[in-house]
Amino acid sequence: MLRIDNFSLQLKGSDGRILPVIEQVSLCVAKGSCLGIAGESGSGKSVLAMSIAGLLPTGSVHARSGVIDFDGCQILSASEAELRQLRGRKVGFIFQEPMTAMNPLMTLYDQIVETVYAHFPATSRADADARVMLALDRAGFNEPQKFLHSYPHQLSGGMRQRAMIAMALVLEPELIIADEPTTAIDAALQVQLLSGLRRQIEKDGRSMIFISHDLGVIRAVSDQLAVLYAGCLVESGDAVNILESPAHPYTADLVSALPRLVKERKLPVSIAGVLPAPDKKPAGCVYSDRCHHAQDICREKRPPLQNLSASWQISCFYPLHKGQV
Amino acid sequence: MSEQKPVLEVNNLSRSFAIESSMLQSITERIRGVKPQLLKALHDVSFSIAAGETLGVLGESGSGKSTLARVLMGIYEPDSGSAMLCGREMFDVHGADRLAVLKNMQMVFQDPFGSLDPRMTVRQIICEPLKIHGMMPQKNLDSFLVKALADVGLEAGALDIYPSEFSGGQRQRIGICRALMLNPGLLIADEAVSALDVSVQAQILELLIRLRTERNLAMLFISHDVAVVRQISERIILLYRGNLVEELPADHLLTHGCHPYTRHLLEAALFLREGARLPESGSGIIPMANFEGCCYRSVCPLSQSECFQRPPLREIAPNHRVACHFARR
Repeated sequence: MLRIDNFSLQLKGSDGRILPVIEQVSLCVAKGSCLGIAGESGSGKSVLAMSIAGLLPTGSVHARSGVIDFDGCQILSASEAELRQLRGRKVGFIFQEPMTAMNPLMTLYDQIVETVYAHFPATSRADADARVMLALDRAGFNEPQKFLHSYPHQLSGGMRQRAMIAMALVLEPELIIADEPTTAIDAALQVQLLSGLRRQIEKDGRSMIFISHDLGVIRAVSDQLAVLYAGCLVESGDAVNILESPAHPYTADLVSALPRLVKERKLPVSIAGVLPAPDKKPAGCVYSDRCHHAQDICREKRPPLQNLSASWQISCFYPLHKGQV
Repeated sequence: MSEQKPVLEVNNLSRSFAIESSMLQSITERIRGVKPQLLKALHDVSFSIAAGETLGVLGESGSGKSTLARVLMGIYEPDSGSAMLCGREMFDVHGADRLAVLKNMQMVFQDPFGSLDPRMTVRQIICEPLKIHGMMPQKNLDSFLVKALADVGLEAGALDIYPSEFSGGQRQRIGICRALMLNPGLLIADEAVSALDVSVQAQILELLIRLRTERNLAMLFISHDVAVVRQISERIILLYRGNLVEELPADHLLTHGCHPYTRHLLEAALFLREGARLPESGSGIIPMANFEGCCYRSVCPLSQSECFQRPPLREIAPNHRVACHFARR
């Protein structure tokens, strides 16, 4: 469905610096499955998502290389017109903050129907209505009729999140890209939204890319997991396998930083240090300056992506284990 | 710990808001003399916090968590109820007296970007509370400020820099530093780590725990995240639609939390945190307006005719109170 091969991206900084924000990332999303992308803020996960949807402003891009192939369409070389055909119709994007992503002057109905008319101007009013209602229903919106003519500020946080999901689903895209759609909402509501999204994949055979810094949330929706650090792919493979026994030290540190709900109370362990700026990455392994296991070679050479098993890749000289049989 | 005199004691605090309707509707209602529909954001909430103790407040959005913090901080006036902070009445005091009471209580906000004035340097930001309360040290100001920054893990060089230069975690440290400048007895943290990445979240939690121990600080820690609240708190209260539904020691939350709403929240959190089996999603649409009886009645699996009576908060074990007719430990 979606194949990213050796994708690298350099952006222009405001002061003319060249920022390598993504370095040689290769990923794959199969039809009917969900890829979770995990990483801290600044790790390049949102930029990667924007690149897939062809949403990066061309003015800020210094150079890009590699392949992003969506169902036969080469995103990197596609024209703006081709991209416009893709976005909304084939790729639905759920943005992070509904309050900034929605137009405050448009009602719920108008926001959602806008996509329909943009792609199919000849749609009849009744058809458009039916599509909007179906999308809202799929997004798990309760009693949508009551709120169709409400403005975003009149909706609760949960309703706005669902409206965002409905906007992404209205043309039944083959791929949904969700960028932190459930940050800062309570657990019960999160579960409702996540199981709704999961239904889109299982029942309707859509694919999804789910971006989050919360590994627990990722486990709840994803089949595959890719961990990004400072623009580099450090570990990827089956989501449950990786989270049960991470092989890359960074993934392991992320897992132990997560507050747990097991019987014994143990404080989450923070990761010392900060994510390096894109133009100040260590020469060797990008994680070498924060890693407890780093040796001399880690500081000198960038470890290549290697296979732990057929479906488990890791970029580390000293993996925490050799993978499962 | 419960033997000590509490730092904060809140009794029967209530606050309601008029439900927003269209302008036309509210005018016609006013002409007809119809009273606007009220939403009880806080309904008879009572609790206390001892020195050095952290009380966690859990609840979903709309449960009244933030209203509670705002009423305590004096941003909203309460409709009824009283609160004592360090032995002094908090409400019904004005002017200089009020300022003196509030000095003992400071707040850390959710948004590390919105809560710091971008046009003030760190020095101006952390000096502001000192100025307001007339507590600027006459001598050795710089070394005093540097020590305050060091306490929250920031370097002296940060003093004359603007907030935009800092990352989210560092900004949150600045916010904590500002809150601690007056050496308050109580810190209110309203979703103080929710906007941060997990790795940074753990750093800020460590910082709050260290400061609490060093300064014997009482803390009201408000969050929607069950795992975070349980990690940092000694006791937890759960709010639902403005009602306190359960109060219990944090160590007992997983094993003995028994209000149906508590269980619902725990199931969801266990699914997200530990990959437990997905709970049956039972929650439907709940009307916003008030109704008589138990606040959780309309979605509760245990609901029976008794639930039309509002259940009192009853003690079912030491330090464990629950507002439900049927919940058993």
